[in-house]
Amino acid sequence: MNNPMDYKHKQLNIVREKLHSRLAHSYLLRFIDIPVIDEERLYLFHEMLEQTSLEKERKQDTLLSIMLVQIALDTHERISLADVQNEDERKNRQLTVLAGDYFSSMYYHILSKWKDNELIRTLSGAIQEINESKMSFYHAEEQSVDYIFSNLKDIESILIRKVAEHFDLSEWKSFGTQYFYLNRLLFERKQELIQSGTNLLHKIAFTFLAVRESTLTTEQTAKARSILDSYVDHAKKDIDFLFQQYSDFHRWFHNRHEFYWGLNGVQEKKMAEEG
Amino acid sequence: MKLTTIYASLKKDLTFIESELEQTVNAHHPVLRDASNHLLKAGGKRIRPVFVLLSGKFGDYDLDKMKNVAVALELIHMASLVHDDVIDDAEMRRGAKTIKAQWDNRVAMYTGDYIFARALELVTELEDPEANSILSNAILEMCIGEIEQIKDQFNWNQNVRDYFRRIKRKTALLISISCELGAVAAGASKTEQRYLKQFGYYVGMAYQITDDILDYTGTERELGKPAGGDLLQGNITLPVLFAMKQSNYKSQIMSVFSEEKPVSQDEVNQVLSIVKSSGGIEFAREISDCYLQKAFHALEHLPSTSSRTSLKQIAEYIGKRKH
Repeated sequence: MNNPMDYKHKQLNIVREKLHSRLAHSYLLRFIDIPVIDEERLYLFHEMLEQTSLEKERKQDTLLSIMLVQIALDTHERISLADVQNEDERKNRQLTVLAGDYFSSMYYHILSKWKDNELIRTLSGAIQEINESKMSFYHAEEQSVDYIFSNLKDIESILIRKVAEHFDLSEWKSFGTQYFYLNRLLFERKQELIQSGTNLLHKIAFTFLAVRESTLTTEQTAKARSILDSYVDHAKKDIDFLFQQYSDFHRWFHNRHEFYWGLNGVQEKKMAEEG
Repeated sequence: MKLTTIYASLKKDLTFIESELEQTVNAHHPVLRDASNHLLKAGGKRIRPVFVLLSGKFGDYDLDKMKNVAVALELIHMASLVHDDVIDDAEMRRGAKTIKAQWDNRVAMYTGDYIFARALELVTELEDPEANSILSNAILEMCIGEIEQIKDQFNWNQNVRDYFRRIKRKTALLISISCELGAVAAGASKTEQRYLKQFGYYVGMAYQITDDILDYTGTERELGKPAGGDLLQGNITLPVLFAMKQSNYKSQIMSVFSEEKPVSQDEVNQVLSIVKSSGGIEFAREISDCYLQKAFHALEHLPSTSSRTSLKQIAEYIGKRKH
């Protein structure tokens, strides 16, 4: 009998290779960073699609399409507001825009081949909602702190929720939402350790502390950070509760999570700050 | 003949399409909604919806079905313009500020992605799965064409064939499938679909060549942006390719572009004069006319109706337009 773990690794490798070959546009890669494949999303969507009755090749192409949507969105997120300073930066910006469009056109192309109108509709609906949420997060000056974090949660989870609904796999929504929301918070917290005064901290300070200056004082930063940490703690409790379901699937994510939790330095920094 | 006169027979349907366009980009978030409407209100020729509707007249014309294709294709065109303005770092389009200038790059990216997704959602409402196949092939080709355009910027070794392949992907494909999908949505015969697709392709080629000529001959008022913008971006088009075939003009042009420093508007104006002296404009006009003749020829295979006459008039307008 075939080992189920071998089968899983083989299937994931096939999709990974397919993704790499789709992303490997020689001219694009001369000027832009290699698009990152989010292994956790790949694993999650793979597990979800395993619950469906799609035949093998279609399952692979469906997973490929969903990942291309995520990669296209992530690629466009890299477009900065700053003026370009030289020819390389100009090329990088131009081709980052086009790479996102190109990856996006590929998901549509693959699903059209399968004549899967319904999934095209689901994914295009998800993209619209994600861009609505991104705009809300970006222009959230007049909103509450809860609203800012709720936008972050939506940005990270809409695609998962929509795919789960599409395939009638609602039980995956809660875990996917909480896991990737916490991941985003940990990423933001880590960024905050690397560079002072991140975009998120400024939004918190603007909204909660009514700070209007472009630079935060040490006290304002500490206050904004403690608010961020309270959301991290809350999200951590939620995911720990979900981790109590000890399936192989949850164990895989639990191990990843423990690894990141240790890496991002939140615990150590908090302990140091609290004395 | 003015475009509005040609459009007269479609006025009611086009008004409906315009309101559908507005409703379709009616996003929840005010900035997303305003940015989408900003470009919509700046106008445009709506040439793609017109081709969809006129082509639909060769089959069982049902505006409810046609609207999805017409609106989707105009939105795909709009989304590409929004992203193009980030690529070109453009401040003005159609005489108004671009979305990236009015807001910023991030708003432009979100808006373009949102509009494109809305367009795809609309097309899925068509019953014929062939429609998505045609459109998805075209969009993928368009994206490849856009990347090729960047790759070919300031590449003085490219030839006319590279140029034709590029403008096919950049412009002709979307106009071609506007005609084809209009016919598909209306259930026109396969033969009619084929000739309408051909017509759209030839008109699209003529349209882009004319656009490229206007970049040399148009005024800032006519174009809504300074002349010579293509050259400034390093986009090498048919008029300059013709000039480059002649060694005396080639050396003059290369002397401007040989240095590492960015090219100034004065230097661009100098190249515009050189290209005009070379006969590049006349040559490009001849090629554009050839494509128009091919477009007219494709029309001859279609039934002689008022829609066929309108398609011919639009093609003629495209050959003579000033903006």
